Amino acid sequence: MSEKKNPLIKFENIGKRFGRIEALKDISFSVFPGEIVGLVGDNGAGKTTVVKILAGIYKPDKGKIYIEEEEANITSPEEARRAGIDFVHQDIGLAEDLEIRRNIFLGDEIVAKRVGPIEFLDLDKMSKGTKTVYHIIGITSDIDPKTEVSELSGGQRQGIKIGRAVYYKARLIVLDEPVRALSVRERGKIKNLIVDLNKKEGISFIYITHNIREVYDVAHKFVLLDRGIKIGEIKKEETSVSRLEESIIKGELVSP
Amino acid sequence: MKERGRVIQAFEIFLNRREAGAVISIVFLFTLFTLKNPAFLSLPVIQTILVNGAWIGMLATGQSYTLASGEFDLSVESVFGLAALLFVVFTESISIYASFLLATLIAAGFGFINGLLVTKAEINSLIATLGMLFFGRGIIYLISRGFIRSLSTSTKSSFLPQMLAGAIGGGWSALIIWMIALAIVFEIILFYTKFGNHILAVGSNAESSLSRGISPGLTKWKAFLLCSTIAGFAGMTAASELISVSADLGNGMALKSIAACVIGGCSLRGGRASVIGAVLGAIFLSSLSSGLILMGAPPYSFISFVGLALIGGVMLNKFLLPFLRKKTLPINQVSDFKS
Repeated sequence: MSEKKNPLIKFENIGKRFGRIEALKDISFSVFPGEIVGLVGDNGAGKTTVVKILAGIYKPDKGKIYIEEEEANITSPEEARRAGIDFVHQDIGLAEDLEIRRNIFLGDEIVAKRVGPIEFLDLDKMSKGTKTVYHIIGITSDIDPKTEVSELSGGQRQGIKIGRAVYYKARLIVLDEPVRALSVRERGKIKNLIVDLNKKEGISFIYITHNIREVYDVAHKFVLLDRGIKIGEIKKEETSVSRLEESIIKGELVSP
Repeated sequence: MKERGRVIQAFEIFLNRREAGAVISIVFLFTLFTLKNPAFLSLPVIQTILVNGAWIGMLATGQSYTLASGEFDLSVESVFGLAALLFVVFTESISIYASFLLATLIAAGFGFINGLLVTKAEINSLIATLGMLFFGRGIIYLISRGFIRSLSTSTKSSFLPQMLAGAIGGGWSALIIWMIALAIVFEIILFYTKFGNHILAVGSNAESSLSRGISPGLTKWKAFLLCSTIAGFAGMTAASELISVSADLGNGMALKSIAACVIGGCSLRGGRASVIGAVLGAIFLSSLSSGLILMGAPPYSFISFVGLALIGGVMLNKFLLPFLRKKTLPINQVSDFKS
């Protein structure tokens, strides 16, 4: 579909060690604009290490990351965000005791005016921005932006995080086990949201999970990891759920 | 009918405020004591209550910031006592304004060290600030050698002490104004500024805040700095009011300031706080002691009632208010995404 374009992001021979453990060994793969990549592997495969390297939390021992063909040196999640890459984790990202609008703009608060060092919030504009986020994620009813996040369901929280990433013009959203703790119905809604945003806004995703079935409907391409090694990369058309599952179990790509 | 709806609506809004527990507690106490002795509900008594609650109220103002950021500060009582003492001692050799400034800086220094210990050395704030509490009190004894130190006659009637704690007519003291002013200013800062939003966010979820580019350590550090500085200021109002500063000034105030915060709706886990509530909590504690005195309770029994009131206040916040909220508010009809 989008192979003709340049990759949005490219991992090249990424390696990372923690003491004697080789967490990642020569990992290379690309995400193209408008692509949803399922990064799949069992526990300990190195999926989260990939995310943390992309977020600048870990520095890779070797290898390079390119954003739109340019070598990127990301050292923090904010820098990644500025480069158009945002992260949605299962547990972190929201301060539960705060209102939704204060969460959407957390760290990027809209300031109405400054008095010396004091920056007064523009809560009205933050409410309006929150409604834009609702619109992005398709919340139909009117949840008051002043509602505390602790009152929201798990799915709504994930939706808010994804919507916030879109609001801040993310081109690539990295989803780390985004639906793990959600109800079946909410899982469906989050998946629909991802597909919707991909189609309508052309946003790329890296969807990380150990559960093939969870990501199979959504992704265009799968990158399989096993104990720090990339065992294969395959397009959805060329494989099936059962073959992918077999690959994970065997630790090698089962070809058709 | 419409009128009644509006009253219920106002009541619902009130119940949803974090300060509701403290307000209900104060109203309850006043009703109780006034029924016992109608003289309780009078301006002089209320003014006395406010003056007596002012120091705990000011300490609670700072404390609400450390609590909001997910920590707490036990050293405030020593900072309070030390700033009071230093203010008095310094005036013997330097000008009163320089004394004020220097004592404020030393108070802030305590906050700086608290923050350093908690955020850089990663020592639990209970231990770090308890250590600083003892350290500060020791310094007080070292400087005062256990003796009372007093402001000189000329100093005590000068402008600054009068501004900090003087009478402003009609039985009102500057202390009351300071308590209220600090509460309002810091309530506004906590809820309507970027800095306040970060304090609450860090207290609510440090990891999430970090993921949004907010440094939890630096934010908590600022909260400690603010808390100690306010404690130092409160101490200097105490020196101005009392004229004489004893070595045990401030003893026991730290836990009372935390009690006031908790009664006022601050969470010990951070992320939820109310400065106004904390000050109302202090006023509640002060009303309790005034009421008990008026009722002729043995003076030293007061602290037992503080204990009971603390537990009662927390239970009110934990059980009764959520119960009342559920009764009056429509169940939050937060709906889902479209499918």
